[in-house]
Amino acid sequence: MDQTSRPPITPCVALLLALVYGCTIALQTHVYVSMSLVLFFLAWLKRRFLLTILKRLVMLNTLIVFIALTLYWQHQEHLAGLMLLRSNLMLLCILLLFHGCNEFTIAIAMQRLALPHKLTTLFFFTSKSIFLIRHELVLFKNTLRIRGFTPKTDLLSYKTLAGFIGTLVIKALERSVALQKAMLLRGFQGEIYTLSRRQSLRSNDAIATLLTLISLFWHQGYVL
Amino acid sequence: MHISEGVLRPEILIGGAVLSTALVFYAFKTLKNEDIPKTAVLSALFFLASFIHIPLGPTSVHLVLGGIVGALLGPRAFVAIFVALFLQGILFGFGGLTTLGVNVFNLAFPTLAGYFLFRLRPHTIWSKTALWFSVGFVPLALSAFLLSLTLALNGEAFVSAAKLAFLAHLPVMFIEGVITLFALRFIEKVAPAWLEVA
Repeated sequence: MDQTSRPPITPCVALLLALVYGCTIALQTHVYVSMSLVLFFLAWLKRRFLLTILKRLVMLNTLIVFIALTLYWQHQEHLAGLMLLRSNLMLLCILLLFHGCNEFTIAIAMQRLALPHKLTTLFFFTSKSIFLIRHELVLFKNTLRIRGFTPKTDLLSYKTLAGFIGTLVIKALERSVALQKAMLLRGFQGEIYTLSRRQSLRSNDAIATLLTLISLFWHQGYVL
Repeated sequence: MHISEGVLRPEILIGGAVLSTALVFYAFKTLKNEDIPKTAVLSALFFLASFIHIPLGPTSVHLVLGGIVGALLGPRAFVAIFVALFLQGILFGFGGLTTLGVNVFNLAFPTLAGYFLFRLRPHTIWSKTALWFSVGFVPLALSAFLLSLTLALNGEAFVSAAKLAFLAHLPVMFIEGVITLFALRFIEKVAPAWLEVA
């Protein structure tokens, strides 16, 4: 997602919706068609990326399908079906709400939710570190590729990869010292100030909230 | 290693959430401002470990690095792993929000074993090798055990899945142990001060 564009659902609202939807669906012992109402709305909002999101959902189903198969094998068809449907509803909700978001979006959302400053600071620093370490990870993979190195199941490959992990750890720890010094220098008092403006709620947020509540409390179209 | 959304019974979800909240809250309360950068960078490392794939025969497995994170952070690893798993759950759908408590406990609690093993002072090169291998191996073995236990507690029907899940993690435990051993040896050669400080 473009850094300047805003996600269709405000991230702090998305966090609350994911939590409410997830917690309520997790407690259900029956699944109804109406539970997917909000997902249709979110899918419409993310219609350009729907194929990518669905591919991701299929990938995430590996462990769920594995467990469902073991249940099915023991003639627990209802339990297997319930688990499959419940998992997919919750996962699809998260994927639709947060597709295109990055670590910084989540850190800002945490700050908007007025969570403790120490926690939001930790989210901001973690996000920044993820950005930097990911860059090093890509550089390392490219270097290995350029040198014609193909990792195999042998000690040389494991030593090479362990050396890289060691490098990452050393660089990460050195960066933490630099960050600590920067915090001292800037007179850090336990709070991070961002330049991004406070985001007002929009109609999409209101519609998504309303549809989430309808999905969770208006049960129509029994499936399982 | 993550348990997906929708798999567990509410009693287990609530139990995991209560346990993890207590442990994360304690670690968070004792976290000083000057500890935040180190906790954040190691949280980022834990987050990205799942993108580092290690070849294993015709397939590949990803690292967890719980042992290294635990060895360097101690009880603060609870906060680091909480942040990393929260971001993984939201951004990639690994785990999720309702299973966050269970997943944090299953992955963070065993890292304490890595912390205590790392603090032991070996007398010979062989005992050091065995200890540093254990720093990677033991936390992952405990995590796999807790994962299987969680599935088994979910109901009798889940016992088969629990056994298979533990068996599937066996090769990963050894790989994690070997990688942790070589990574710690590398750090000892290149920047030994970091291991002394830890």
